[in-house]
Amino acid sequence: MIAALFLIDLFCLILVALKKQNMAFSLLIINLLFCFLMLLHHTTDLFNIQ
Amino acid sequence: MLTLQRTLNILFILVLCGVALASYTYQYVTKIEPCPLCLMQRLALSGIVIALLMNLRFGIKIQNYGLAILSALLGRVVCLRQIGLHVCPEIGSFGIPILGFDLYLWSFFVFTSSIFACAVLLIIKGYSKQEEYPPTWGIVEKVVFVLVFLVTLTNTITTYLECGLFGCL
Repeated sequence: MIAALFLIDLFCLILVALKKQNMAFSLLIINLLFCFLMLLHHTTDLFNIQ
Repeated sequence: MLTLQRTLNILFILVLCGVALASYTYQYVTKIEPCPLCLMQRLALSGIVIALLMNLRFGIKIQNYGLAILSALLGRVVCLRQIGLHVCPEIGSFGIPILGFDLYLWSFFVFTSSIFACAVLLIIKGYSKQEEYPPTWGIVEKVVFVLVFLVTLTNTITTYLECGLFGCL
């Protein structure tokens, strides 16, 4: 999952180069949100559905 | 004032790229694979750098600094989690300490300093007379962009080789 998030970061950088400000900003927010969810998954049993 | 803000943003990005490159050097010198929490710290570092790069590309804006602070806070929470995991002396630390501090503690200092730096940059922005910094995409900005792109690309490739696309949760 972390590699996929780095891929999103790369895509975000391409959007920055192409001057797509809103898309780059939204994508970075989504990236941070997923990173936060991963931290929750790592810290708690929130997503460990048996 | 605008040149100062631009210069400080570039310096900030270069320092964070230096931190990322130092972590690579550490990884390949000690031959210790980074743990998922270390990778998440790199992800947060990457978030700060991209937010600052957006300042250079689209003009200096408060929301970009906000995004950088959010990324730094996330990285800081991940560091705290890792410090919490290794706080008991029976468990021991992860990796070889540098100057007496473990790598995740250094990372905690970097994220805290980033929040501090963003606060200083926001104060400078507040005292700036012009509303928005007109974006210039000169040779320096292009070199910085290429450096950031290469660091992120290396991060992506090494993480993919270690965990695969959806591994290391």
